Amino acid sequence: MFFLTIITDYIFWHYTQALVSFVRLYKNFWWFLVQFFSLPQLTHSLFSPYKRMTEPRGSLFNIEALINFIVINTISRLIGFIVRACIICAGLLSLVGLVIMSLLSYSFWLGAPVIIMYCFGYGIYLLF
Amino acid sequence: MKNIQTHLDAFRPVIAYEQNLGRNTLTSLRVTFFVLFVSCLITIIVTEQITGDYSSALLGSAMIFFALWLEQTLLYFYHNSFYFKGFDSIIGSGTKDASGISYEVAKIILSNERDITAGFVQSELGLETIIRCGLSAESIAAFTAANRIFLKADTVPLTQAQTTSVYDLGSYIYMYDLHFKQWLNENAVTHATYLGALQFVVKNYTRQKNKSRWWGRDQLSLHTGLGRNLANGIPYELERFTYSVIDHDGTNEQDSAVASQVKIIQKIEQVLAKNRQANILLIAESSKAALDILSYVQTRVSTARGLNALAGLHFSVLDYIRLLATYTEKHDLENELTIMFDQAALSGTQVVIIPNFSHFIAEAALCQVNVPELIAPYLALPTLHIIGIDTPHNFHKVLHQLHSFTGRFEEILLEPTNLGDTVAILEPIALRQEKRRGVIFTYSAITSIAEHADRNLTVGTMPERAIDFIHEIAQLAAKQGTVLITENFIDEVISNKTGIPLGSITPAEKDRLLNLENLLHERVVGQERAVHAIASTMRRARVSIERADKPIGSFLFLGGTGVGKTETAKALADTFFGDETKMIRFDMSEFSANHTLQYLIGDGNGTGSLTDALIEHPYSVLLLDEFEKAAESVKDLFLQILDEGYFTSTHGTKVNARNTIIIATSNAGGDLIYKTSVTRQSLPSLDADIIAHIIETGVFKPELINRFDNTIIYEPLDHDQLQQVAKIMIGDLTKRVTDQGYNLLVTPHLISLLVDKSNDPHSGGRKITRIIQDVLEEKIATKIISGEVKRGGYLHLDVADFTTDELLF
Repeated sequence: MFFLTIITDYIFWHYTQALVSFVRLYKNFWWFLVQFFSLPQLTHSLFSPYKRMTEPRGSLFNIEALINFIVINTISRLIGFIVRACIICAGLLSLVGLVIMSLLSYSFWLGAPVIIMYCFGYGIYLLF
Repeated sequence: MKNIQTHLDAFRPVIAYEQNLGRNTLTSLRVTFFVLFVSCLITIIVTEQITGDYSSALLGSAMIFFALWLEQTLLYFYHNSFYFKGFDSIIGSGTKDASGISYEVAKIILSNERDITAGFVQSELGLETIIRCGLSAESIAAFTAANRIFLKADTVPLTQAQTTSVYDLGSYIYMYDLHFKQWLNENAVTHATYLGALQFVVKNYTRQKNKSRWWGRDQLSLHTGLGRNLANGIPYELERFTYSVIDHDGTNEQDSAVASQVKIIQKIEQVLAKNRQANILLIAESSKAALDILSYVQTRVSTARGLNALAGLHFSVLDYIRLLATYTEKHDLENELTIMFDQAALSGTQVVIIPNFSHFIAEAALCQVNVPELIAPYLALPTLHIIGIDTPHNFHKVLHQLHSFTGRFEEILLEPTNLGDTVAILEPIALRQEKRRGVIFTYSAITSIAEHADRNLTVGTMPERAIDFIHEIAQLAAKQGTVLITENFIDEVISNKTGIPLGSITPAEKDRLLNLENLLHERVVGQERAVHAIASTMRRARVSIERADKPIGSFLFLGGTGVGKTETAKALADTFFGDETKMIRFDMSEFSANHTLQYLIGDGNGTGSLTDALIEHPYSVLLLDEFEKAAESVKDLFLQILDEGYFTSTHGTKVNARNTIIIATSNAGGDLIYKTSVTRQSLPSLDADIIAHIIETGVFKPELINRFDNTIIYEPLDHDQLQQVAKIMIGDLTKRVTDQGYNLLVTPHLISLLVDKSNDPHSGGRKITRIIQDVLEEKIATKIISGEVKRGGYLHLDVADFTTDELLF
């Protein structure tokens, strides 16, 4: 009797509340990945110099200083862009991974009770 | 709307399931099935590789184990959805239906639906609560076995706004189960203690449970982001002489210590979020407390819990001692400071914290470096924040003088925490100490630690005092082998430390308290009403039914000279603090000019005499002689002391006077009191008239008189009382003479004669004291010097030993 009650209650929960919780969980993880990879901050500062390392411009007529200024700042910005772009890409990939995993898990969740019954039944069949 | 029964029915299957197997067993089962499933899979792969085939029985087993693992996993999720009910509101992601009951509430009620009180006290949380109230397991067993009226499950009300927690259930049981309430009251557990203990237990349990919910947004937010640092620059020079604020102390106690300072944290965040001049001057008694707060703000910022505008900020503490030791030349130091602040401003995310700000300024000034001038250009920058920390004393003495500089900082005063906050701070520390030392704190022990640290301990600032004290208590208890730390244990420790009688009253102390009048009368002659009033106040103070935020007792003694006012103060010091010398005496006629207030509380150059006296002797009788002669400003100071039990010295430090008995004596109204004795009117009927007269003549303001616990009028001494005073004085004299190796005998006739001759209502017992000194002591000295009496012999004094001239006074 107890087993029957828990099964009915479970099945009801599995296709109602659990689906809502699933969406909430998905939102939590999405929020976490966005924060973890600092996506908004890195996007805003995508072309900023790497760790704000810059060379002051110096005298206007000093060619050497001017070249230094242009080269170092360009390199700094370039490195900054590459490093940030890598992290942004990793973050975006993680988000894509999350979406795929969520869709797969969601589908698996919907079919899980059937999968259990199938595996259990077929397993017994194979065993004996 | 669902009723409690509907909710209970929903929980019934999962709770029954857990009761049959237990959460740990369920986890073990899940893991076992998974391991078996993976083992079968591996075996299949291996045999397939070796033999080119595998047995269908192995595949069948793998499928069965997979099905069992999946079933257990789904049941685990199902169980979790009930187990963590109500937790959604914590993560802030919101849930539309927060009503209902928590898992623990359902478990308690379902364990005994006929008698939820028994279910509660036998549950894990209920039992811990009751034990933290100081009751034993035997007492709980006796209570549940007793004949009681049961509180049934269907009477429990539901709160609509939020999930009904164990705290709600426990509060409900206390309100409606009269036997339970009576049982607690009989065991001296007050409503506040019970609720405090319940909240403490539930809060701790919930915190632990929430930690296991790693997928919640608040738990996920604890991870520091990956790319935050890349958006900002690195100030290499600054990093040489700074360290992260989070490293400033490894005690890990700052979180609990500052969580209660919500307003201060909000204010700091708001100031730092400003576009320009986002600099702070944090004024705190203890720089550690200030750094704790800033460390907490840093944690909030790095876990994205702070304001968005603060994202990416780094709080670094300047190690100025090392900086000043490295650069001793003016030019080098200026150069280094400029580079450091330039880089910090460029990085755009630095918050530079300078502890002991005024000290740094003063030390740099020794190298001819003007720090305020050097820092000034950076204060307006939006990309750099500077936080100076200093004590109120140094702030007033040094920084306040630099108006134009400090005006660019937002001043934030870190108030010492109140009692409720201190208890909240101590709770997690108590838990850690319990784990470390194998002791258990009752809740009243924790509140007692907070109260005593605030009231009876004077060294250091709050809440550090309380934190140090709880460590000391836990260590002491562990050393003595005490497992359960109760309020009595704390009282004993405090009593031993301070000499103030606390805790349960011992038989000897009981006798002393009940006979306080007689004990005082051993030294004070007459003054029945005065002695009775003092004794009553002291008894009330002993059983702590008086306010804790004022001195132990405060009295205004009114009356003429020599009626026993000072002697009462001495007797009180002796009786209450166990030593007559525990009395600080101030002749208030020395503080009759308004400017003399600074002599008491200190000025810019030094501390005051009252400040020093109270810091050196915090547990004593404070006697203010001739109080009416004090200046108005001085009287106003005592108005605050009498009301709040502390005053603020010129240097901004709070001086505690809550462990003193304050006695102010005054001759004001002495003439009126004398007249009543002449006209033989009864004094009690004239009390109000005398006080009204004193107020009318402007000697004391009514609000000052009302601040004293008791205004006591000392009656002029009559002939019999003077005779008693004389006997006491001669008794003292006899003792002194005996100490020198002689025996003294004074005839009653001589005593009567001396008393008759000294009967002057204006000078009270003072004249008899003088006569005994002038006449008897003189005669004794003469007899000893002349060799009239040998050591061990008798000095017999009668009227006949004196000439008529000698008795003329």
